[in-house]
Amino acid sequence: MTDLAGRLRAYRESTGFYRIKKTASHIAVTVLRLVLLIGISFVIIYPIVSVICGSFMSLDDLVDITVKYFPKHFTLENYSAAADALNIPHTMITSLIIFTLTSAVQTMSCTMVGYGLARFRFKGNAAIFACVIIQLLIPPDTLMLTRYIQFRYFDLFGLFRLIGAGTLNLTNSFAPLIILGILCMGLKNGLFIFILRQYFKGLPRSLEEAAYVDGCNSFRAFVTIMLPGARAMMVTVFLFSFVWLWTDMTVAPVLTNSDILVNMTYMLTSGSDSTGGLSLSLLRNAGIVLILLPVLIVYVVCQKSFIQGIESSGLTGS
Amino acid sequence: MSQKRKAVSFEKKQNRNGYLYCMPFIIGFLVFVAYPLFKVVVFSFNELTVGAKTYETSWVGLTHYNRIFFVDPDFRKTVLSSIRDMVINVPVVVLFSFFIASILNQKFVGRTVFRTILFLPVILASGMVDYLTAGDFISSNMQNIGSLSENSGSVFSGGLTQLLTEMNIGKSFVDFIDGLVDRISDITTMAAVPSVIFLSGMQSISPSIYEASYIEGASAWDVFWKISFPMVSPLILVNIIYCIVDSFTSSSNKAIAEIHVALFSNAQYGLGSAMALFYLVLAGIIIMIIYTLVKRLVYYYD
Repeated sequence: MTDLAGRLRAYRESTGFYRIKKTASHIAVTVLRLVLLIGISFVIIYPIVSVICGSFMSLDDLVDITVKYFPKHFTLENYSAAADALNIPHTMITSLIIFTLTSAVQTMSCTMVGYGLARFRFKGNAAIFACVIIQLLIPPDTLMLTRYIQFRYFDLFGLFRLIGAGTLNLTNSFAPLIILGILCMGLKNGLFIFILRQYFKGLPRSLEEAAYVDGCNSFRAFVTIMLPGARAMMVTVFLFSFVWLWTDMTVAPVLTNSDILVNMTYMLTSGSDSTGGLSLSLLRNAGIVLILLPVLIVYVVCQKSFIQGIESSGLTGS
Repeated sequence: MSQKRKAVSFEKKQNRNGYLYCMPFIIGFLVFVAYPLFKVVVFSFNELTVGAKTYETSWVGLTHYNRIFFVDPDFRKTVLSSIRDMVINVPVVVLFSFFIASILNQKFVGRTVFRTILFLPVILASGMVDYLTAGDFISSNMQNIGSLSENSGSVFSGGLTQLLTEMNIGKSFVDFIDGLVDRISDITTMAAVPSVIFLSGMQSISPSIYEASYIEGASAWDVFWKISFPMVSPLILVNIIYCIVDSFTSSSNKAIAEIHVALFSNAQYGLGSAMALFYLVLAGIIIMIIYTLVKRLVYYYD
């Protein structure tokens, strides 16, 4: 049967008509695919482009009906106004430092926990993994109030009150982010633990066994053998962590009053003016571009790490 | 014999190390998840007043729950509508992301560029962008270009709605399509992470399986339904769960927004806790039901 089909195909392929048909269908598929992809890309790019265009407009352009995308009176005033409102050089640098630190801490502790869950068969492993999933499922808003109170009246297991000192108000610093990061409770850390666990599960066991036989202890094996291998995965997790923290509105603004960019965004939405919100709208466009610019640069530059990291993570395994 | 005992003790040592590695998470979970959850349960039965140094609670029993279930007309509706949105969105998003992943899995010129663009929402889908673009003059103005006529479609669906209406297809169907087209940007945004997951799954299928089936004379259609689809079916489950969780926990969810307002803007801590708890339990139940239903349909390749 297959032999017949093969001979039939060989016969058809030898005729000219079949070749034309094949090329035609190939072209059709290519065109169709391109149209679809360009269409979908348009949906994604369109809001970004409209915001970028809007950020260069002046007030005259906004009320001018002939101006749709490209401003006639090109201006950079919105940017300087937005930078003033957001207190840009200062807040940008502060955010950069704080979020880099937080992401680094998160990546380290999530790697450790992911490794522990993937490579050791101890009692309660499954239970802890279930807790990771549960943590992933809980909307952060549910827990945020208590976490706020915990950091507002910070008291290390009641130790401070025991000594007689009062509680500490940590919400004035960025300590809450770091503490949550160390304890793997930061933004989407459940997901990171999950990804890293899957990654470590996929590595051959003989890697460590060889080290153990040579008298290496578990911690040293982790640091010298497993960590260098997991570097690509850790970069991915670090990037995601950084980018998500940067644009997050649920954790950082609630827990800390530090001069991070997120805490200034209210400047872009509040306030009224004589133009009925038009100039505020211009300001906001420029502000969005300024806020997202670092994240976009990171994404475009590290595009490979973002996508290939996830692809090689072995997220596929059940 | 002595060899065996040694092995056991080595394994025990290993186990201790496992706890050590997981310690940060265990402490974090107890302090920042289990304890807050317990507190949320307590708060939901109390009225809370926050002072300068401490906070005080006063017991009010089931008042807040009574308010959620029988008095407040809005919250129940919001929760129901967010569940309805989830039920409509999730299948569409999963199908769409599967489709995107299978296109991006092919080899063609410009694949990297399209991947970069299509996965852009992974980083841009956040509360901040929603917050800043909500009610913005320019973007809303630009998106309403198509809505000059009486049917208030967006820039994407104006013509389509007209066409479908003139074809005399049922109105509810037209509304459904119209709604989907209006939400196309939401759907592409939500589909970004699932399509990365699908893509990773498709790339991990061994090429030799395809080779074998092509040699046996299978058509592309057969190969898709008999190999690609079953092989990534565990990921369909993963993605369905991911989408549900995503739609339940995203800050663009109206119920979450309402909880957020109650907790942080109106300082109704007790009521907010009760709402959050009710929502959490409901979401958990729905996820459990869907998980058990979909799990049966999944094919595991071992």
